[in-house]
Amino acid sequence: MKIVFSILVVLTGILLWYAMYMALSPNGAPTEQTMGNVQRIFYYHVPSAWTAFILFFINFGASIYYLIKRSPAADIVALVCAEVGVVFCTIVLITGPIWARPVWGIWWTWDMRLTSTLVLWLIYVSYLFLRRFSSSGQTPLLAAALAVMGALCVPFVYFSIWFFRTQHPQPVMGGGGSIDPRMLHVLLLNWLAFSCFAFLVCWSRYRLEKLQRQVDEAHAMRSLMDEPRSVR
Amino acid sequence: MSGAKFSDVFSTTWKVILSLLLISLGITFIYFLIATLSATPASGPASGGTYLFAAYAVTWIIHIVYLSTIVSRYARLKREIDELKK
Repeated sequence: MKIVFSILVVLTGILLWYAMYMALSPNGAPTEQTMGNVQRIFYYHVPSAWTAFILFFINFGASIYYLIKRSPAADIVALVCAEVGVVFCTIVLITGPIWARPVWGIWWTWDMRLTSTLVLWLIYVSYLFLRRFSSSGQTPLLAAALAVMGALCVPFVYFSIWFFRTQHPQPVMGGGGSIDPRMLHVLLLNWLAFSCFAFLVCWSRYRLEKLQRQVDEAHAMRSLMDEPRSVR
Repeated sequence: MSGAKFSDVFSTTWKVILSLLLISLGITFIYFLIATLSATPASGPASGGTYLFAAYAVTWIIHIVYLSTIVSRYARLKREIDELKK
């Protein structure tokens, strides 16, 4: 398993490097005529958003599974996907304003797409706070219920630019907008690289969480074993 | 529960961190290489270089910070495992 992980790390590293080269080099993605080089933020902003959405979707599936089967593994998967998804969503919320400033002339506007993305981020941050600070035995159950509600926000964020008049551009995939095939190729390449990277991070985080729970169990067992001695 | 499992995970996590550091160095290198070669004008549509660099740098800084928290959690767990073994 260790060898497989190491090979995947190296392959993902190469893929990320190549995707980044294609995104930044005019030989890969052509320079957009209106926005110029700043449009290249698109190759990190959009794949980060897609990756976050996928992770939140997996979190949704794992939460449903946990609610039905009470599987500890599903609970760990849900937690890990929410955490890594929040990391990617944070990147979306930071790179978006960095892109908006030179293009729109403002860092932020209370536009439906931007606001709903911020709300989505806040929902999953509150999910992580719940997991972190609640010590009740019901925490995984409450968190799973919150995750199911939070996941309903994901399609709303994605389709908000269809339902409302917004400043945000139309979606690249399935939105009726057109994109240069070379740009689409680089976009999908970056998405693949980010997805592989997210998978590896989730894998590491899953193993960490599993180990953490084993250590917690060992602490609990030790406390139980020490207790009779202290009573005597 | 064994210490060997921990050391396996720790080393691979460090590999991820090192790979990311190399990637971030690569970003800086390629960006400046392209910026120098293309010699874009100081004004006009092609002058968003600072924003572009900021967005890419912020992305990798966030990832590296998050990965370093994972590594520090592993280190804390290792100490706990060592204490439990005593």
